[in-house]
Amino acid sequence: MTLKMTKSTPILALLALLGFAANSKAVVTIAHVENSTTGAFLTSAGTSLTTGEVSFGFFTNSLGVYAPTISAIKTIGDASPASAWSSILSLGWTDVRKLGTLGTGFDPAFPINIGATVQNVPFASLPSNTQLYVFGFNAGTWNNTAKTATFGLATEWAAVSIVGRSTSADNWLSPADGGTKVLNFAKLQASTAANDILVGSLGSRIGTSGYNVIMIPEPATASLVLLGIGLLVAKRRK
Amino acid sequence: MVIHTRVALAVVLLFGASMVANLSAQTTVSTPIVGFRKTTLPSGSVCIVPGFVKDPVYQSSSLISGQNFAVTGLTSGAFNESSFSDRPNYPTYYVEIVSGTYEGYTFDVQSNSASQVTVSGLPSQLNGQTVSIAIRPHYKLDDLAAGNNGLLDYSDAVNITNPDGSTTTRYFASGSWIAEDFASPAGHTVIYPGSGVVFSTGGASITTSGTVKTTKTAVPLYAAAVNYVGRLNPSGSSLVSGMNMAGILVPYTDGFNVPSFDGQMTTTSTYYSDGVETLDAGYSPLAPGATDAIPADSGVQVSVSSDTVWIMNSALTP
Repeated sequence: MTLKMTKSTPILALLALLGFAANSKAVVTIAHVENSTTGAFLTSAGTSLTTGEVSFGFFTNSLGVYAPTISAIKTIGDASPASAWSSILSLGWTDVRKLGTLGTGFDPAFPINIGATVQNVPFASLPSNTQLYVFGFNAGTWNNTAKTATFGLATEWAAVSIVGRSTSADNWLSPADGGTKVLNFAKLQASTAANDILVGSLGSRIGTSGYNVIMIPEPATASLVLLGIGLLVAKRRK
Repeated sequence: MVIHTRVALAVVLLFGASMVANLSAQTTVSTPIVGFRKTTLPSGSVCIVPGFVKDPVYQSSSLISGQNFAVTGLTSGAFNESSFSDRPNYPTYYVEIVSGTYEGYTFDVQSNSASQVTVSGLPSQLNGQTVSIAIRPHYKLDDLAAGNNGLLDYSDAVNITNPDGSTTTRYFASGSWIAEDFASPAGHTVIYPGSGVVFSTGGASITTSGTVKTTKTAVPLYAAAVNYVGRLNPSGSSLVSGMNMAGILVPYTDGFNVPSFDGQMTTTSTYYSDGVETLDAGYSPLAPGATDAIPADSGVQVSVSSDTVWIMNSALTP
């Protein structure tokens, strides 16, 4: 198609720009909740967390928003929790607090109840159907002034992102313009937990709709546990 | 051409049924058009504009003095603001002027005595005038959820845009609503007449009910916000040509989008104004008889360059 420039073309182009500006305030809300109804992150020992926080958001690269491969995140889980946060950042992690404003009573810290709402996240930065994630760390905090975190202090962590469900509402995908997406563990299922819990494992059922998510321990701790089991088995064989 | 993706809706309007509470000998007995409407929400997000208002609990002519409307026979404090966990002074009733130059303008009630109702925001030009008023309870989020089917606790939510462009988020829980902290009760959150909310669910239905307005409604539009507004029309979709918005939009600058009702809120059409007529996305006036429409129970996203007020005609006015 050939575009012909006419006297009115610049005016129409300007008008089109003005019209486009009418949509520039579009925002969405992203939230995460953990309580006795929805379930929560637990320590590797299955106990309630007393320190640490959650980080929730999405990944970007040079092309825009994207979803890293599951194996890329699971690989991070195989390393030390102390390096997990920096590895997540290197994948292009964007905590939504970098883009939006904190809702009233914002509380992302353990112990539960966690109630964390981030509003006014620009739709231009978080287009609909972007895969969303929640990471839980047993130590460290988010500094919302510097927009940085000290989750490298963590010795345990877990990662969850629900995708691939046939019912689109069950998936953790960002909402349409103006909408809200709540990330909670009520959508977890035993049959799909291996896909949804990228790092960690499915914990006990909470009520009729929630689940807990168990963090993974430090490899050193895990190794000691395995070593202990191995020694025990060897001793019994003797 | 707007493509509708609405599912079947049931509407029942009961003509002549009166639910007016006669709180005063001065109350005008009327026979409002009442009804209810079941709306199916698709998975995702949609703009919802409740098509009803609540029945007036008081109607009369009233002399305005400062921020006060003169009334008779009211129970002192019956319409006072209430205290809630997130806000100490929350309006539960409003006064609406139902005729004259200011027809449709509404003012939140702060308090009342037996002989006067004190509001906020009353223009000084009205001081000393006698106007016809109706006092109605506010439509609240709890009203929106009362007849729901399928809303999920701690998952389904509504967003309400505030005049400064900020967002208020409310989550469904245990039959009512909670605030952004997932704890504070917030079912009392007001939905002002003609204003919309963005409802995000995994698929559910809601049933709204109330009175069909027969008078104009004034809907504030704010420059700092994307304004979700729509006609108070519970009978079905509304024609864009009937919006009566062209006169208040800054020509070739302000505009409104019609979002889809399929959960994705994609813009199905955009409209502007030349100051007199509504223009389509190509800046051409809508043709006479244009069938461009806004989905039933939904609204539009209006962007204005300065604060203004949209005067919406009753759905009963062609």
